Amino acid sequence: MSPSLLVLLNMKKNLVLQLKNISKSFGKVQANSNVSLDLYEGEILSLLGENGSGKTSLMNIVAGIYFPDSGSVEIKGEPVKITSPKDAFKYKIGMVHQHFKLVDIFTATENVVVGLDKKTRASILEDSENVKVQETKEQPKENILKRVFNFITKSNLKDSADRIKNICNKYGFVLDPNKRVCDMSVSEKQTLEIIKTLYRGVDILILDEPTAVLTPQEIDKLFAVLRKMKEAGKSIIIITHKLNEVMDISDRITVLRKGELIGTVNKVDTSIEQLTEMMVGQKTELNIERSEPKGKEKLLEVKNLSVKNAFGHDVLEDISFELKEGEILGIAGISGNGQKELLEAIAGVQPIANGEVIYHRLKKNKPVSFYHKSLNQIKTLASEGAFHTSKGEKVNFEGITNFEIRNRVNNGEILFNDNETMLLKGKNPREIRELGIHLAFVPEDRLGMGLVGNMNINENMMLRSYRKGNGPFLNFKKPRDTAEKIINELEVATTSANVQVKKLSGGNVQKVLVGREIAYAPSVFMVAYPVRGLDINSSYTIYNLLNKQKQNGVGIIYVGEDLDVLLALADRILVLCNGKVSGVVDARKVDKRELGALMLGK
Amino acid sequence: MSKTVLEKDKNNLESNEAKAPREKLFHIAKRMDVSLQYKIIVRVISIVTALLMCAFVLNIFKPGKFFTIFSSSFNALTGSTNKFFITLDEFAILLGISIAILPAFKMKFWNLGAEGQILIGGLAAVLVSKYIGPYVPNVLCTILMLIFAIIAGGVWALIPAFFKAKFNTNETLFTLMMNYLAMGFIAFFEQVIDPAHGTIAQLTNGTFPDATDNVKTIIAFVIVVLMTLFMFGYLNKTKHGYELTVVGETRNTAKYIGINVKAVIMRTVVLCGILCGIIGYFTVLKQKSISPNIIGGKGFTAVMIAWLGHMNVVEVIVMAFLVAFITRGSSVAATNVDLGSAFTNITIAIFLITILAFEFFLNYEVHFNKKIFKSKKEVKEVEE
Amino acid sequence: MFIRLLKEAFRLTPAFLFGSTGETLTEKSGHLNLGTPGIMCMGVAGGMIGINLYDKICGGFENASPVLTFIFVVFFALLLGALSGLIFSFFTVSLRCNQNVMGLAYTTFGIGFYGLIFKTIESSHFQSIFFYNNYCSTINTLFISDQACTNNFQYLFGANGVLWFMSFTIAIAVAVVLKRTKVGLFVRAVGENAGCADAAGINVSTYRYVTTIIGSAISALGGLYYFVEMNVGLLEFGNVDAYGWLAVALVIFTLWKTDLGILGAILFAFLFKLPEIYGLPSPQLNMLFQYLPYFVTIIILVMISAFDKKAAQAPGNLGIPYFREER
Repeated sequence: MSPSLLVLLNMKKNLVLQLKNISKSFGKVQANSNVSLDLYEGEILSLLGENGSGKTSLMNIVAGIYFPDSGSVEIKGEPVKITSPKDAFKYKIGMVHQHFKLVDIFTATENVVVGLDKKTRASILEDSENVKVQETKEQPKENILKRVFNFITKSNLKDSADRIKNICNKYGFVLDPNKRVCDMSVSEKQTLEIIKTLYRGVDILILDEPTAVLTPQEIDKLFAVLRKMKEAGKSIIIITHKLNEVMDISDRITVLRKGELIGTVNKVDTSIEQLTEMMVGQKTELNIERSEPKGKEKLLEVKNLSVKNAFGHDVLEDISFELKEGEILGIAGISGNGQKELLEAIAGVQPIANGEVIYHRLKKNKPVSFYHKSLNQIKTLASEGAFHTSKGEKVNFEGITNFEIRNRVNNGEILFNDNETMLLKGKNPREIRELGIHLAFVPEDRLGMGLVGNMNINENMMLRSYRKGNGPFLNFKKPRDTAEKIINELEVATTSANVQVKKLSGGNVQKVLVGREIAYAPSVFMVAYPVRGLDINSSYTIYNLLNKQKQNGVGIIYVGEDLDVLLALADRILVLCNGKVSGVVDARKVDKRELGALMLGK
Repeated sequence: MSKTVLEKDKNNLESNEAKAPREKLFHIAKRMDVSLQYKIIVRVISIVTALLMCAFVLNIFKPGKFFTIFSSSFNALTGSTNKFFITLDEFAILLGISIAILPAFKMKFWNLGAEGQILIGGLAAVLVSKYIGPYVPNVLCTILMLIFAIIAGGVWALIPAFFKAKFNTNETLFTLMMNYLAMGFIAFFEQVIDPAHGTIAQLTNGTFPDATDNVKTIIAFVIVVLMTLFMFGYLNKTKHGYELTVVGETRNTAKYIGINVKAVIMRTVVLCGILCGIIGYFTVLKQKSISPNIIGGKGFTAVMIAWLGHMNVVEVIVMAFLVAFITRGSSVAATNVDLGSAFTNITIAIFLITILAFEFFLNYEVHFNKKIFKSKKEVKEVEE
Repeated sequence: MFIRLLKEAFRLTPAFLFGSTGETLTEKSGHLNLGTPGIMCMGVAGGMIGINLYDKICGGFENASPVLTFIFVVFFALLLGALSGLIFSFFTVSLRCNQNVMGLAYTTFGIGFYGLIFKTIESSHFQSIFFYNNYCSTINTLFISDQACTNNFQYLFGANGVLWFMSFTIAIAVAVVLKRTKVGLFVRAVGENAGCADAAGINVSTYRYVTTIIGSAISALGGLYYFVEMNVGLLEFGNVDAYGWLAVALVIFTLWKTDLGILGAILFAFLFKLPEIYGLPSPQLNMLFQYLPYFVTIIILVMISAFDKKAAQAPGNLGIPYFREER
């Protein structure tokens, strides 16, 4: 880094935003400590750091969502207090949050005007940016009848819609102002969020992980818009952890690690290697080992699968693919294109409208147990001919006492048939398990589906196994052992197994969840976004665990959003677009661009 | 620190305040870890404050009677055997209802219909006593009364639970309306049994008219204690208890592990109805009759007790005892100072609202803006 | 007979309508106020307090001016209603208490409070039974009496009090404000998704406070109407809260629309009065049919949940306290 150049840059441009020694904590978690940051007029600053490094918290402080414990914020050299998003707008700061802050049932225009009162509107009108200044200022002089008419016909919103169209034209957005948010695609929602801030005439725009939900093509478009805005004199902060994007778009880069400021560098003076080192602390090898798939046998087949949502629309249409033992099948797609429904349908959580999921039992001579089965269920399965004895005879329980059946099962004399195909459609997770199929599933929503946040680690271990054993009472011993084992082996940072899961950090929550599912000894393992929100070290722990399972012959379905990881980890990649398969490709032969095109359905 | 620096600080500060007069004095943050010790301290303070608030309200309506409510509460507890048993009865019923609705609330099913479930259970018992009683021996009659009370309570609870499970019908209002329907049925049968008076005369079959009220109170109390023990085990040690907790926490997790959510909802709420039916049975046993207002809104009070007891059996016992204590105290105080039964409603509400307010301190912590306080101090120092 | 039934139903309508309008407004901002029955009781208490204070000023109902009496009762009902809303929102917005529990506690409080006011004031007036009746009759001299009506139209619509007309006006006004104005848009945004509204610069707390206070004041008028215009000061203890619960049910029944609320309230009132006016062959059945509205409410609850899943959407954040720094 050359200090002289920095000084030169500073001379040229005006300082618009300055953070001085900001600290913020949540309970015992220190999100930011003593972070300082400068932003100049007409520049794009990247805020780089791993997940959990405090980037979002810091920007939430600027946007008025959080209030800092200590430190000060200065706008154009003057100290200010931003206690609410409204204050932030007053200082012309706008933020596009990672989880969009839009009201689903409102239209685009309604979403834009929400929260704009007369004062804010007046300040917008002062802004030379915004068109139609003259026209709107004359409005108060209109006669009362016309105003009442306007009021009844909502034409005040028409004005706003016109202004939105103007903003769209100016920066090259495409958006229908009368479209409802719930009918919009992810990138449309993001566009709307940006328009919302522009409508308010912001000078400082903050974008939190804007590229996480976009395809490479959409990212190009977004960056083009951002460059246009930069030319118009606006200052932009982008929060991200993707290094190539940082090198692509930004002028300067500020790096955070574990809530602390590591440094600020000019893009021209730095390299990806240096940034990585700043971000992670030491240079790490970013290679994921990929072994060749072991087996060739089909493990799971999905045939013409369709799933409908609560409103009867197809969210998955005619999906077919197969999963072999010992391979990782990656699933790519813009989030919300059916990934969640696909995994849930296979796992038995979502009802299947059409099609079939077929499981091939490859394990030989698997004994039947009372693990998840009642006596009656075993009897039913036996009458359906699902079992054979250890001597290879057919099982017939007719005329045998319950006591005798129990004995024979407990002695391991009753075995599942080999090479059996089982249809999973219409079965819930419990019934699937009762067939002796170990189908592990790490869902996207960890605390809302995979784990219960208010329960402790021990109790969460029981989720899969609490039914084990006869009688109405719970067995606490086994889950406690499993919890202990997972905490030790996966190095879960917790004081004890009695801590509520919601109090653990994101990475530790994920370790508990993945650990539990692996402890279940799966034959099919489905994971959705397993490294979302995890730092690099935890991410690699997860990749290694998956690879180990793969080597054990487990078939893995991996839904991911980071295309680089998908390309490095998976054997084959299935791309979903609008609930349909737009392609299945060999991960060793495809590149990112091609994947991006498939994700858009081209 | 040198004086000049401080003065500069002071100037800075003044200019800050001039530009940003909206700086907050304090801000609120979510409390992450709550130690048991802290919980107990907050609880004790909240209970003491709540009691003082009740006394304070009494003082508004009858000046100079500040301590009356305490003295009459203790009087109601220890004054005489009879008074003690009335208080014990109040406690048994409140605790019984709170325990009965506990599993539903743990499952986040807002069962406001305990009153209706009790009434319908009681009505079933009354009808058995009236129409079957004359033809069977007393003991058989009372057993039949209990069985029918349980069935009626269970069925009455199953209706909203079924629709909740099937269509996700709003259970809060459903169960509420079921209360009024139960009252309607009682009013109807009052007319059927005695069209002239419109009330149900004292029943003799299966209600043991010779036993004293105190003996019946003890029986009721013992049943409630058994119910409480059962509920403690059921919620904490059984598979059923585990399942309903998961369903209450997140529906999605329940689906994810293959719990039959609908069945669990119906099973749990029917259990509530069964326990309410038992309460209805011993209410009839004691009152030897039934009328639409016999429960007098205790179903709602129990809801608040269960919630403020954090759905935890031990805390619920303490809360139920305190509410019974206050209820009896205020009703004795009200007759002492001529305020009527409405005063009881007010004291219970004030008591519960105060405790509810203190929940805030369990969930959130308040940070005062140290800078403002500190800088004021510094300014003072400089002036000195 | 049918005209009389209609008349009686119309007369009962505002007792539901005020409550449901106030509650709808509150719920649109994301607040579930189960305290509405209690707040309606507070409205009755406000009426009683107003009459008593005015009694002290004018010294006996013989000297009372109907207009002043009316102003007094309305003022105190609104005051107590608004105060209730303030207390409710302080607990649920500022202290973020559970709204259901707070609502139930407040209902208990309201029922107690009006009983207590009734009791305390009763003991100071020996002519109690007719004390309120006299004053309320005074107010009602402002309007055309049923006997003075010359045609059915006048009988049905003309012979009603100011509060009666107010209930419909307010219901329509609230509907227009919620649907057509920016403030209404903001309120709906707060109720749908408080996080978004906050990020857009709306002060969520202020909006929730204000809508709850206004909504409660409107609900309190329901109690007052019941007390002053419908029952002319003759109180049946224990009915107001029952009407309050039906008003809460009406909110769901009318899909959070106060203009539909008018029709809903008329329907409820009609069902309420049907068995009373027409009478059934046996007193037993008559007694059972008095509980018909509750049964109909249940049927409607089930139908809404069973058939119309998308249209019957409650505000997205209904019942959820908002805390900005929630992580």
